Parts: sequence; structure tokens; C-alpha cells
Amino acid sequence: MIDYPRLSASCSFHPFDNGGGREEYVLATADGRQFRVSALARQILGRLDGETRLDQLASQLSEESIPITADQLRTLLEEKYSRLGVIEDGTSPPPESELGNRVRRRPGFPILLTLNVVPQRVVGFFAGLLRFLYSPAIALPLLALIVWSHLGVYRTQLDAARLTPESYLWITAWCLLSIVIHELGHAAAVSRFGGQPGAIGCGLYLLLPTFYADVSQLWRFPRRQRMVVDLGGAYFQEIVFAGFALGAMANGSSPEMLATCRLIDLMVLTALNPLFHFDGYWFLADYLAIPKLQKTALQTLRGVSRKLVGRPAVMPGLPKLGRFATAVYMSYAMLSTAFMAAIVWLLYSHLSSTLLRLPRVAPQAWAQALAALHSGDLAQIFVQSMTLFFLFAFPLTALVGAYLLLARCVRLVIDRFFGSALRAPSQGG
Amino acid sequence: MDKPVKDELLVMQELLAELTPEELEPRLELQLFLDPLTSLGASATDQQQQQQQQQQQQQKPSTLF
Repeated sequence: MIDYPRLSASCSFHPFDNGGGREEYVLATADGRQFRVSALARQILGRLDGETRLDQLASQLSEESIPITADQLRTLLEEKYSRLGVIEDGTSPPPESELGNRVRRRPGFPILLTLNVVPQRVVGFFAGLLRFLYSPAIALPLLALIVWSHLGVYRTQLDAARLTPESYLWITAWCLLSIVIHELGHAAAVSRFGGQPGAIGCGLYLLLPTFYADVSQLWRFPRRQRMVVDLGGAYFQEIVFAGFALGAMANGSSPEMLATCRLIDLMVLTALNPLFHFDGYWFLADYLAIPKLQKTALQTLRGVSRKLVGRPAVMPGLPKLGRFATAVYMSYAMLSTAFMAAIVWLLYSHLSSTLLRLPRVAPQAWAQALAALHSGDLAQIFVQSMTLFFLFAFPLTALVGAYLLLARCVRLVIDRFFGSALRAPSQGG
Repeated sequence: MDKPVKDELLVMQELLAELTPEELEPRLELQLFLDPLTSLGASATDQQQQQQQQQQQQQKPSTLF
């Protein structure tokens, strides 16, 4: 039981831009976790100095027309804040690097694995070098170059027949380079706005290989800056596009470079799709000032549909949205819900087609991979390995997706129909 | 007599809700790696089929005249 609570010295507060609503803050811990708290919560937490007793604090608050008793304050601190590791007992010395030793919270579904590849220090160095690309004097001509290079690339016919296994090796390497630069684009934007970007790494989005830049510090930025950071990756990757387009023009319409350009555009378009948890999703979340956009959108739709049939509904709290922003939000809510429904059909059709042809195609791919291995041709080995990997990765992604979706549905049904019965014993204990 | 108690409870609930922290999820800006073979292979096959169809149409004698 804490009588002299103290806010951990390693915690810090930063203003949170919530789109013009009430005053809020980001409470940041030493291990990088961040919490959105109200101005009142900040006021109370700021008074936890380890020397003021809880009952003294409660009476101070009551004098300021904040009706809370010492017991309620204790319950609040113990239930809501102590488990976060941000409250210490003022009567004992601060625990040494307790927060530093905490395992940092990892992103959950659908990101199944993350592995930092480029450490924060190295990312910070390169981000600092590249942040000049965001100065308007440089960015405007670059944007013009990007538009011009697109006209050039899409006016030129891609002769895919000229692509050899070795070509795919180059295309893959260049695409990987463009992805790393994409991630550096996010990091450079964070650096441009005075923040410290996190590490760059790779992982699995379901079972598909993915790369990421950790820009968690972004929550402390104004919304406009957050939106620039969200688009920074696409901007940098399109600069790479322009580079390869110029290279293709200088090398007799090199099919490898033209193919790389088209793949870069495909990757950028995928990243900007707000229905997945990629850059486009975060851009929309920042534009609307709704951090948990997908969850909130689903709650809104559920509330609206309940109201339509005359049933009581609890609507999620939303920031003040203008007419256009409301139209965007409702469109997203409907599209994302329709997309979730469409995913069931897509999963079924994808699974049935890929799994049915897998017994026929897999032995062929395996035989070709073995033949490539015996031939010693590095390009062939690489291409055949890639073929084998993606042959299994896509259907396995669909299987994992189907399993997780089903598990979520089952959880929802159990919670809906048996939730109160299941929760009752734990509440009693 | 019950009303003030209910009001007090409501005020307390609202206060607790206001004081409850909301965790902001880690922000990872993701970029999927698309398989060049699959992505380009499909378009290359389409292109070859289109070229073959065009060639076949050009080889066919015109029936208009």
C-alpha cells in the first residue's frame, strides 16, 4: 500500500495534439511507453512528490473542487498507474533502473515479429544527414522531378521478356534499398522536427516480410508534423523512383530499372492504403486526430446501427470534426468494415485456389530449386528460393489470418453472450 | 434521497474515466516487401499474352473486304 506516492523521475509529460479538444498530455516512460492522460491527471501526477501523504493530496484536491477521497485516490493510483510502473513509494529509495529493465511493449496483431536491424544511433546519424530533403527549397524541385520521372516511366513500354533470373536479383536488391530509404524518410522527418527516431528493422506482417521504422516519439508532435512524417517514407521512396527512372533513361530503357520503378510505385500504393496498418492508416489517424482509428470507427458504426434499430448505443468519444473530416471518417468506417467482411471472402478464395494448386506446384518448385542448387548459379538459386518462400508464405498468411479472424469472432461471441457470466467470479474475487 | 448518491457515483465514475490513462500503441511505419517475381511475373505473363494475341490478329487475313 502506497501512502507517499512519487511519480517516477524518469517519466516526462509532453503536450498531446488531439485536434483542438480539451487539454491532454503524453506521459512518456523511460522504456519508451507512452500514455495519453488528461490535464487533470497530469496535475495530480505532478503533485506526487513522495513527501505528500495521499490524504493530504485528497484534501488539497477537494479544496480545488475535485471531489475525490484518499481511498479513491489510492485505488486509482494502484489500479491505473502502479501497474504501469510509473508510481513509486516515496518512503523507499527509487528502484535502480527498474523501468529501463522492463521489456518494451511490442506491437500486436497483425505484426507477428519485429527485429531491430539498424540501431537507433545509426538511424539518427543518417536521419540527421538527410533531413535537409524536407526544406521547401529542396522538396519542391524534387516533387517536380518525381512527377516528371513518372511520365517518362509510364510512357515507356516495359519489356519484361528481357528480364533474366539475374535481373530479378538486381530488382530485389534495388527494391530492398528503396525500402530502407523509405524507412529513413520517416526517420529523417522525425529528425527534421526535432525528435529522435527509433531503430529500423524487419519483421513479419502476418507471414509477409515487412520493414519498419520506429517513430513512436511521434505522438508528442503536432498533428501536421505527424502527417508529414507519415508521408515521409513515400516521399523518399519516390525520390529513389526518380533516380532509377533517370538511370533507365541513361541506360537504353533498362528493363531492370523500369521494373524497379513500377515495383516502387506498387509498394508506395500499398503503404498508402489506409485499410491496412501502414503509412496511409497513420496519416488518416493523425488527420482525424483519432489514435485508435480502426477500433473507434468500428465502435461508431456499431453505435449508429444500434441507434437505427432503436436500441441504446454508446458512441465512442470523437474529437471535433468538420464536415469534410466527418465525411472522410464515416467513409473510412464503412470501407474498413466492408473490407473486413471482404477479407473473409478473399481469404476463402485465396486459400482454396492456392492450397489446391500447392500439391501440384510445390514439387515442381522444389525440383527447380534443387536443380538450381546443383547448377551453382547464384541468380537461379536466389530466384528459386524466393519462389519457394512466397509459394508457402502467401497461403500460410491466409491460414494464419483466417485462424486469427475466427479466434477474434469466437471471442466476440463468447464475450457478447457469456461475458457477464464469465466475468462475475473475477469481479467477486 | 437516492438521487444525490447516484449523482455522486456518476461524478466519481466520470472523474475516474478522466483520470484513466490510455496507452498509445508503438508507432511502426511499415513497408511490405513485395515479391518481384510474383508482382512482375504476372504482369510479364499478361504482357506476353497480349503480344501473342496482337500478333495472331495481325497474321489473320482481314475479312472486312
